[in-house]
Amino acid sequence: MSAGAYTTSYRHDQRLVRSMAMRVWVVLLVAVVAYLPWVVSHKSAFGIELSKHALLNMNMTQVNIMLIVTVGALGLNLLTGYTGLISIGNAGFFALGAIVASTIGGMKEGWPELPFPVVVLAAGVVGAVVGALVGLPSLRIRGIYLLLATLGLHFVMVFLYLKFQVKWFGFGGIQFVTPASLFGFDLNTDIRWYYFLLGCVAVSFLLTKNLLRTRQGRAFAAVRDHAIAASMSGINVPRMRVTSFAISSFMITAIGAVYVWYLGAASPDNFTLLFAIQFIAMIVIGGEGSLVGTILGAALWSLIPNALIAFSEMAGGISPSVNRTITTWQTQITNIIFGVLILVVIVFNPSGLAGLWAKLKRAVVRWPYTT
Amino acid sequence: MTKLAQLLIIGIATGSIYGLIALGFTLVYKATKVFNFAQGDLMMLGAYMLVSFSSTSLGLPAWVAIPLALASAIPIGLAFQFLFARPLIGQPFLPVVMATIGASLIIQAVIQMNWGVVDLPFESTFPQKVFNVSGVRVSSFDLITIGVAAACVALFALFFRLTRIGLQMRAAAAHNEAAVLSGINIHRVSLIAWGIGTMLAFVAGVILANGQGAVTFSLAGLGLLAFPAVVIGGLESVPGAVIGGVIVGVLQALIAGYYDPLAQDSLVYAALLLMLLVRPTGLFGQREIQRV
Repeated sequence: MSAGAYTTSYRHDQRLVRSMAMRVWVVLLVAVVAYLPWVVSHKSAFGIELSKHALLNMNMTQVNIMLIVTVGALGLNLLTGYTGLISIGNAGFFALGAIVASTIGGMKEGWPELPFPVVVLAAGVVGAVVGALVGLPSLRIRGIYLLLATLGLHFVMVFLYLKFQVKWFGFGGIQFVTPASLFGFDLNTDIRWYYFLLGCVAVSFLLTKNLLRTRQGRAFAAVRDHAIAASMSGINVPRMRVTSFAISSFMITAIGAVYVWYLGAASPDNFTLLFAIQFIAMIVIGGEGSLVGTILGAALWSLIPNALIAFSEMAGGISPSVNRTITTWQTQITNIIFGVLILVVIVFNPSGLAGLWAKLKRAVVRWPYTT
Repeated sequence: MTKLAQLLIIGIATGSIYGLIALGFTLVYKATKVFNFAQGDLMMLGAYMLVSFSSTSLGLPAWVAIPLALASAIPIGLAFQFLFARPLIGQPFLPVVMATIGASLIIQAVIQMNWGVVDLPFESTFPQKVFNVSGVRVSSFDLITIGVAAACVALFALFFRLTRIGLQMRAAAAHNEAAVLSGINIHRVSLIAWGIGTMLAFVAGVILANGQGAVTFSLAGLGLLAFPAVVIGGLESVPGAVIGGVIVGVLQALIAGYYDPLAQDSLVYAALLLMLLVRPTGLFGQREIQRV
């Protein structure tokens, strides 16, 4: 019996699902995510009633937001984890998505009302173009400048959004009233949104995964690992960086359009710098350069706030003051947890949750031999 | 003409505050190669420390409260170095910047939990006088701000040129490994850099608390304006940081005076993007030569 899954041929190395165990995992995952909305909305699994606290206080809106931020985090991780660049512009790109969605999505009279999928893809294209334009100068120099450029982009974009919103829609924010519909399938309930967003996550996951298995994706990794060595082996480093940033901006802006549509309304309060920073927290905690880790990080991000409430309700029976503190400072405590987690992960376990999982798996597979 | 002169005065005064924050950032960046995203949050912390010492519970007079607030910068700066910078020595740029982003999350949350999310009124303890120089109103606050900033820069320059530790810091910035080999205690240099960097942020925070009449959470946004300042001045240039700060302040004042006060911050960030497009190394930055 082999101690672990080893690659025996080049074709095998290239395969998407590489082992029997992985096949089992994929099937299990599909079953769980298909069943999840039922569990969350009925608060029971296989006929067993589950308490609110056992489900970590989850609700469908939260699960859907989690799927949305997962796509944004996948985009950011393509940039940060695979190309070695950091961007703080996620909120700005979400705002850009909101602008595109409201102009061509039929929110304004006299403007075209294009179908929902077309609007989302158009938002992505606009995002990619803006990303390339903003990234172009800074990416020629060094990775650090992209952080500064995207910081600038964030403030410029949110200001443009505010101007746009006030001029066309007034101070109350943009209302996304047109029903989103996907080839006749109306997204009018949380469950329907769930399956649509699940599709979005699956598509972006597979596209990213596939991209990374191509020549392009390997070039990204080479740029991340050693830019000078990469350029010596014939990789056009600035071009790879701009491409990576454009693809990542495409994903983030497209999902930004979906996000505001799902919320039903958007105002500058939705696009704060903190919102952008949280994406960085997700990918660091999940594991840079790991797509599965990104999903874990995004899941943790969206579970913590409600789980905190669940915890405080349970703790409230013992100590009411703990309950009061947590309910008053829910966002702040969440952010402290994130800040501390970022630090702990970077110092003690740079590969994040995905790395922990890999270590655990190795320990189980190789037991009783330790590594 | 009077309006232009007026706006210039206001711009130079606010710009010197940005210059102070940027100076602290550049100092830390040069000496330890840590890109401190939380520099603005440290500035905000300084403003809140002053409020704690003076107006709320303790009620100390200004001449005690201000030095106390500034002195608190040293333990805070050292703690910051110990928690966020020291464990990551020698790591590449990406994890380090992420750690400081994490620090920014923590500092902001701690400030909100400790001092609340509402605005804290703070009565300025600086002399309130307005001079009228042929139509241009110059307040004593503006003069104090410019004076303090100029004094800090002068002290800083002298410290770098004349003291032993200043020389060591320049050596560490120029070539870290060579500095270690010639017997310089890098950890000590790093600690001192963080201490001074935080102190400069606190000076800016103390001035802003006095200038605004209230200490609010919006100071975090002001602190971020140190980044356009360092980009315009050049990321590793000490005079560049101060001049960049003044340019940012003047730009803000001109935009607010001639165009739209609401646009002042975002147009400054547009200037940052423009600068990256035209001259990414800033006005005083040097072109980098990359070696393997």
